Amino acid sequence: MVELWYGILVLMLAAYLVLDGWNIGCGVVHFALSASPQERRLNLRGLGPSWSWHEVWLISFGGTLFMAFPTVYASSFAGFYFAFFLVLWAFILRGIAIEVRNMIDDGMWHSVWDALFWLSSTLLALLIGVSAGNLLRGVPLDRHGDFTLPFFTDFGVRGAVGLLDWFTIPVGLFTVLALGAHGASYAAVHASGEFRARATATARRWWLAVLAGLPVITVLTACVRAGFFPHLLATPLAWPGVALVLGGAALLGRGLWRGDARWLFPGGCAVLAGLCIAAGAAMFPVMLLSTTADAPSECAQASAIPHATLGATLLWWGAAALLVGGYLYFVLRHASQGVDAH
Amino acid sequence: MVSADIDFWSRIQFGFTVTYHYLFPQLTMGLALFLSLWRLLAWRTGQERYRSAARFWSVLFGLNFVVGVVTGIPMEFQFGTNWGGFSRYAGGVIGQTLAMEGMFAFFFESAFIGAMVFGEQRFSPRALFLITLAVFCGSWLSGYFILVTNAFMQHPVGYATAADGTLQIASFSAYLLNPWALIEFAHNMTAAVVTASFVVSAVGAFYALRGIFPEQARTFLDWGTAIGLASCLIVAFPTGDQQAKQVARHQEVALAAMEGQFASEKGAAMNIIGQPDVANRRIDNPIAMPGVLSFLVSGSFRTEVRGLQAFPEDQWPSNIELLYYAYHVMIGLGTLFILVMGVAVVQRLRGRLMTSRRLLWVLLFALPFPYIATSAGWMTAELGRQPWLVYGLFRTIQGQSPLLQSGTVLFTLIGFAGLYLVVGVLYLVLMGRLILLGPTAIRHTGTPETSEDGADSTGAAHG
Repeated sequence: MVELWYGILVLMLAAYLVLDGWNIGCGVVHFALSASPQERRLNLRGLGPSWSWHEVWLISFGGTLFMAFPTVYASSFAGFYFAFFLVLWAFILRGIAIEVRNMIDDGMWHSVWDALFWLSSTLLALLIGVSAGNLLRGVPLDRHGDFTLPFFTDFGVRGAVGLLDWFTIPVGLFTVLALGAHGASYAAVHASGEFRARATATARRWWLAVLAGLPVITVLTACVRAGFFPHLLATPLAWPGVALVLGGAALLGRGLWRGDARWLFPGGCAVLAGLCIAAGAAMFPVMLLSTTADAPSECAQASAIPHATLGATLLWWGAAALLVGGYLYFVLRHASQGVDAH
Repeated sequence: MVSADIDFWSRIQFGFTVTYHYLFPQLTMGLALFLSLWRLLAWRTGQERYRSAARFWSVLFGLNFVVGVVTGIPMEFQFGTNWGGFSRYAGGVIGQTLAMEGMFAFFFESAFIGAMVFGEQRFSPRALFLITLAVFCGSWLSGYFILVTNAFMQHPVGYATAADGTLQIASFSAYLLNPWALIEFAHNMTAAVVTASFVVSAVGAFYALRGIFPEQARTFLDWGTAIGLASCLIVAFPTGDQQAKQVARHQEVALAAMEGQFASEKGAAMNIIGQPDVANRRIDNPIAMPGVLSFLVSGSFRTEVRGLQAFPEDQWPSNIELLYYAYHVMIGLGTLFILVMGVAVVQRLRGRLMTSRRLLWVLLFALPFPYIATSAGWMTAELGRQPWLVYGLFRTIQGQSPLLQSGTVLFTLIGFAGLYLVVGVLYLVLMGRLILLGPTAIRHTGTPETSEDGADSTGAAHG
């Protein structure tokens, strides 16, 4: 039962990463992609009204984490205090930028919001990556299971670590690259004409950089968390994630070869979701790894609410998920005709 | 480690961010009712004025919704970042409704909002009504889950205490159907409709005073004042009355503090005006209605009401003055609202509303007051709950994240204050601009016309 809820959380996070990933990514490559204010307008229009719906995946992830693993929720959110407040502020800026950029027709107005859209999205991508890096590396838990993370300490990965170190900074930069590439291929699939060509070219460059960075991150992860890859290979539930990464990479390769974003976009979705699923499965059952000697890691079983409640919760959660699937079908059927209608 | 200082700043931070956030959903939830009604009428009667009204307010709704979403996420984070002690203690119970809100309400609402704001040309009037109804249900459902969570903190039911001292859910039905939540929901949602009524009326009054968009002005004023009077009456009676009675039932000491009732007495009076003087245990220069408090609580003018002094001081709400003023501001404004909307409806029935310029000015300047009343109402509820985080079980002072420092909380509070100032200015400028552009400038695609889009201006003309 605990495994099931952990799995649900990982899948929700993967969905968030793929869906809002392209919104964030479009922000990261907002200037790399667009040669003119008109193209930046197209880039933002391409996101459509669905970005807030994508953000809901993160909100629901947070709610579900709180419900199923309140202890991990409490110690991790308090521990990531500064990082998460920066995430919050970046979310606020990004949402406002997307919505208001095209509300007033003025060049300087557009410039301000274009810059803020890029800045907040890049900050979000970086922070998502750095947070993931921190989860992989572990956090300095105390005996009560609490921790607090300064921005940086000695940039080392053992003992009293900080948010930034030689491992989490590369993971953060890699995430900026990966989400940027994802956003560029989204824009390429949904645009037309000259803008489409430029977006495709950007997506190719960025995905090449991501594929070059992937082995580096893999090696770094193996150095930082010794048991990670053996555990990954020994956990059957992680294999679909690995398969998604490999399959996605194959699609990406084909897309890069042909210069066709219609291969790049699904390939990128698969790689991002696969990385999230594989990492989530390989970390289980540890949710917060301890980097200090005086405290054990926090595990899913110890943090979960009683099994009977988890089971009962599954009833309403399943019903809700079915409901979401149902009207999602309805909305997507109509929205697919949508975005470029105006 | 946990000092009173950090308790203070964390409370200020949560109070500030949640009060600011709630400025937006109260309009969204109230407007959702208006929009559903207008879409229903547009579908059933085919009249252009309802379509035009729904189209215009959908766009304002969209802007509101976005600000509501981005200012709402901090709440969910803050339970963990600042209130880790509380999350550990009560997460087994309140985590349920926070997860439900995301799964049932947010997905629902946000999946349809795009179609509601941008879908005028793509959907039939019937489909538009159903889509708007879905947004309405989503936003009200979201409100319900949050109010169930709050109701648990006000009046905990349906829980069991686990071996490690934390709370776990024992009965889903008892928790979700908490009697406190049902009354609170009725009272709060009616208040949201009051806010929307005043906003719709104020925009109508603005147009009428300027002599622009006369058709729309009439529609907004007719509907704003009619629904306004109904909701102002319901928010006072029965929902407000029931809310006060349940506070008297379950939080007797909070009621005594709200009313500034220090000594227990039979036939207690209700203070209309006066300042609580906690040091001397009395109300300074009161103007009171004798026996009314007893009547309010029990239905009889002679019943005894227990005053603050009947309770140990460590159970008194921690800020009695603020609680007292907040409660009286809410009650006072609520009474004025009935008066204003009542006069407006009478003038409307006499066919004179559009020409009563003084009344139109009053309606225009009434705009901020429902927001003040709602905020004061929530201050009453939350200050009255103190010193408890979960009433009678868990004190606010126990709820902090253990390693947090007060300077850190103050730092992020200042960050929020700065960011929210910018957001607030932007919101007012953009709302003002949309209102000045007016209903005829809103195209079917849900965006205001700009010169860049000038080629596509036919939508507004034939509308």
